[in-house]
Amino acid sequence: MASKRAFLQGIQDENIEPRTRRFEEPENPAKKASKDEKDRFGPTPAPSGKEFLRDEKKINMKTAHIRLQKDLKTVNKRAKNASQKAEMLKILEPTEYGAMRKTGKIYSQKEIESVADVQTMQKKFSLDLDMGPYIARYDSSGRHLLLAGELGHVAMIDHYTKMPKCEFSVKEKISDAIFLQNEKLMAIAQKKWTYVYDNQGTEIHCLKKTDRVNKMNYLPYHFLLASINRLNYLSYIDISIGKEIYCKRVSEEGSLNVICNNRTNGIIHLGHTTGTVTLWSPNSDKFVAKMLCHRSNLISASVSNDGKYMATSSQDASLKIWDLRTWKCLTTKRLPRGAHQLQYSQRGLLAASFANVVELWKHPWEEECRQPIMQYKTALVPTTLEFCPYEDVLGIGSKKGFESILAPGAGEPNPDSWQYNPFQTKKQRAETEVRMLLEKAPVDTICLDPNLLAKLDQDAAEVFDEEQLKRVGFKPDRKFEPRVRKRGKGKTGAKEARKSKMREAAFKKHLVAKREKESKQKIVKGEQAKNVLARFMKKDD
Amino acid sequence: MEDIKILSRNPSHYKRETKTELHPVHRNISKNSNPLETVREYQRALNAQKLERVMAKPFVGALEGHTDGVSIIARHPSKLNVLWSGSQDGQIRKWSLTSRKTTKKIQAHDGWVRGLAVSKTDKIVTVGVDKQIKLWDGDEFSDSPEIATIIGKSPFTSCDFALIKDESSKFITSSSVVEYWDSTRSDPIRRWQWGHDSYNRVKFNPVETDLACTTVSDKSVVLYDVRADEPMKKLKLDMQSNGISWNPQQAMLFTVANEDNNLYTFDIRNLGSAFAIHVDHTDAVLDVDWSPTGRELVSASYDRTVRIFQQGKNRSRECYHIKRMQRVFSCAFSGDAQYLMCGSDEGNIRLWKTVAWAKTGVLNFRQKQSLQYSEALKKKFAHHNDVRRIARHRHLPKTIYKERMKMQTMISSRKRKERNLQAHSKPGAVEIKSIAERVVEETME
Repeated sequence: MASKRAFLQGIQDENIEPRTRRFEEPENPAKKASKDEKDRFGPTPAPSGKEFLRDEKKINMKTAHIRLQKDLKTVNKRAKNASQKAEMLKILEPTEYGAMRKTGKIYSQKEIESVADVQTMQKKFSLDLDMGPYIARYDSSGRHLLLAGELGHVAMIDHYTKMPKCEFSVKEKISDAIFLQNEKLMAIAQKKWTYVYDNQGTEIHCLKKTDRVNKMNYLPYHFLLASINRLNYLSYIDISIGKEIYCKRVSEEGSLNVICNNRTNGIIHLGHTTGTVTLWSPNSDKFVAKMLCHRSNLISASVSNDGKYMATSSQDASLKIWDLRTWKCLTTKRLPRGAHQLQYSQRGLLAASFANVVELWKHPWEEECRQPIMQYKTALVPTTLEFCPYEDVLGIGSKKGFESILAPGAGEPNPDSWQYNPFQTKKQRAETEVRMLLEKAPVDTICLDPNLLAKLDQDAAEVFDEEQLKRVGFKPDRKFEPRVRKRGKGKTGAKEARKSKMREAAFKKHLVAKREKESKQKIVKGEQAKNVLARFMKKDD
Repeated sequence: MEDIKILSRNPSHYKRETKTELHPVHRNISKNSNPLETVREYQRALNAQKLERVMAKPFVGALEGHTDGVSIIARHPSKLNVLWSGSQDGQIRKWSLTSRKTTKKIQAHDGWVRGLAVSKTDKIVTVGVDKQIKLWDGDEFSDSPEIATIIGKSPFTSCDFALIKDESSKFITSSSVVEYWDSTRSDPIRRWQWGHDSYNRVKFNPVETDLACTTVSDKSVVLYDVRADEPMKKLKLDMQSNGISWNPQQAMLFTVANEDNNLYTFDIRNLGSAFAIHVDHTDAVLDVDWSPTGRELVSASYDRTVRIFQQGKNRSRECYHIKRMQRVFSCAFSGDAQYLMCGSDEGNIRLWKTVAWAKTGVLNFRQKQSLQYSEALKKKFAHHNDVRRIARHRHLPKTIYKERMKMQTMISSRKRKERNLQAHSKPGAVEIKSIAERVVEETME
């Protein structure tokens, strides 16, 4: 962006002469690269492409296999080139991200509103509703808003155009509501069972297996609906095939009220009253991992979009940020009260609410960040906090109804049209749904490391040796390093040949030893056989 | 720079203005926008692999017309559309591959047409069981097709044109001797003989145009240099070879199709061991042809199948079979390596695609892109078990499947016995020879 700005400034400079002839041939840029020109535009930084690199470390494997080494080198080089090109392509992105740049200052909504344009101000609105504390959820493309009041009122509106799509009453107590794969289906956890409704309000399914649900969570790439129960059961339903694939009783003390998911690997985090967070995947009977986060009751948790950080808050008014790869606590922050709602935005802003205050933290994992970057006072205690995907908007559901506030720097500006498109037509929505179904990640792949499929199997040699040990009773010594020879005799192929010779010789030796042992055993057996029969012989013989 | 900036999206960037335009598509390929990328790519690779098997329809069509079995087919070296074939009733036909129709019919010989060669200047040479060599003008608009006839002493078995630049009048034939002719003369320029056996096939090297290779009925393969008086090298195998083909990209490699169901590729610099052994046929291999790319070869076998092998690999990539196709006597690749032809016993020549799932015709940019992406995905995840299992899956006729199972048990038991023998005998008593070396019995100069 800096170079773009510099280029535009350069055009307005007086030193450039206006073109006199219309059909002048474009000058050869190589000729005109004089010193002055270079200084004016400044040096263009080479694209680093770091944010597009998938593997943070280069694949490095110590191997004497020349071909494999060459292949790894080309793989690393290709990845670097691709990430640099991807960085250069960023110039094609149509929308820029928002930000609140000053550090050390607490912004207020009034300041933000003073800078906002008409279109942005339309996104900030509030609805006064009176059917109980409201649960506000956005769908995956950020276009539709689902409002579910505890007394049974359900409404779905398109919050760009403020047009209501459907509104109906469920006539029962609602504990949680959530959008499924897109705005076509929504799941509402009612008093007894969970129901799935259409975007017109028609009841499609009644899921009797998930009963007395407290909270629900949806994993978009696996098409899994995870729900936690009043009887402490965690269950997963695959909504593409409609089957309950997992139902286990969580044996931690206390009721289950805190659930959040890690978007990068599909693992569900559950918070308990013992202050622990357990990580669950439908592939194991027990939790995958357990973290002791707080000394007292855990009241909320949220995992960041990139899967690196988890924010937890407990009754003892502390907010802790955990690194999910090293399992260590990065910082502890003191809040006036325990944060009842915690939510990470797409670009890393953390929203925390306690009493009737909503705070936004920027880069909370840093030690230097001691205060939030924005504070907002709501009329009544918020029940849900949810960032609108792809917008700089935070939706707050409370007893009063619903209100959305501006949160600059929260939303990802450029959605991938192949996945989530806020401006999608009916046909595009249907095609996206089909494509997502075709690419549905199978349940077996949910594990702590999502990139396990692409990793090199580096302990293959050890596994082979173990198997050989079982089969033949002999394990070759792989640590033999042949003497370094010079004068053209130190080639890798020759070295490998010598190594394999040594291994073969060792194997032959082992075979010889084995044969001798067996022959000895035969003799011993023969003698024993005689002795065994000896007792049946007559004493004279 | 302002200290507060709010995301403001312009809807016109994301919507199309008129119905005739395409919907704008914006991609975000950063890591955060694509969680679980590896898993989803793996699913896409699986789908691509399954689609490949669904789209694998290699049979294009049949060239029907011959009334007796097709004994030999030869493609025109520079025209993609032209194919010549000779049948067991002595008739040769010129085909147009696009229309799959005969463009010229000539009654060439009295019995089998044993050999047929086409030159760049549209000249054809055919040899037959009736001891005659005939030269034809293959041009469609010529009045009299026959140019010359040469009568030999014994029934001929094959012929090949010398690929010299300017002339197309020199050719080599094999019968009980190997003879090198000039069409203007009635006596051969050179005559070679090594022992008293009959010669089966002869082929010129397309790159090193002075080298030729023949297969002999005493189970050997002989190499010649046309400039020399004596044959160069002899290589003895276990069983007789039926067909030869030189690699058009790597002049030192040639492949022989052998009676013992295998194809052997040799490097002329080291005839002591086979360069590669291609195993998969269940009956004698009758003909072999290298692709113009030098990467693949096609083999026609007595077991009613045509198989495609890759250079250096010993198992076949594809096996083409059809219920109506009986013993396949000859095969050839097309000039652009996209198609292959095979002539069989019931008188039909069949046209197949080399890449069974390839989409023919002109593809637009989006189609090409999506096919390229599928290929890249399949390559990336090719080693995963599920993907590999689907990629390997082929339907084989029951007889061939059963034969292969039988061969597998035979080969594995043989190997096991050899290993036991080696393990339980004095070290050094049993000679360890690689399979490639065992192929060659002896070599002579």
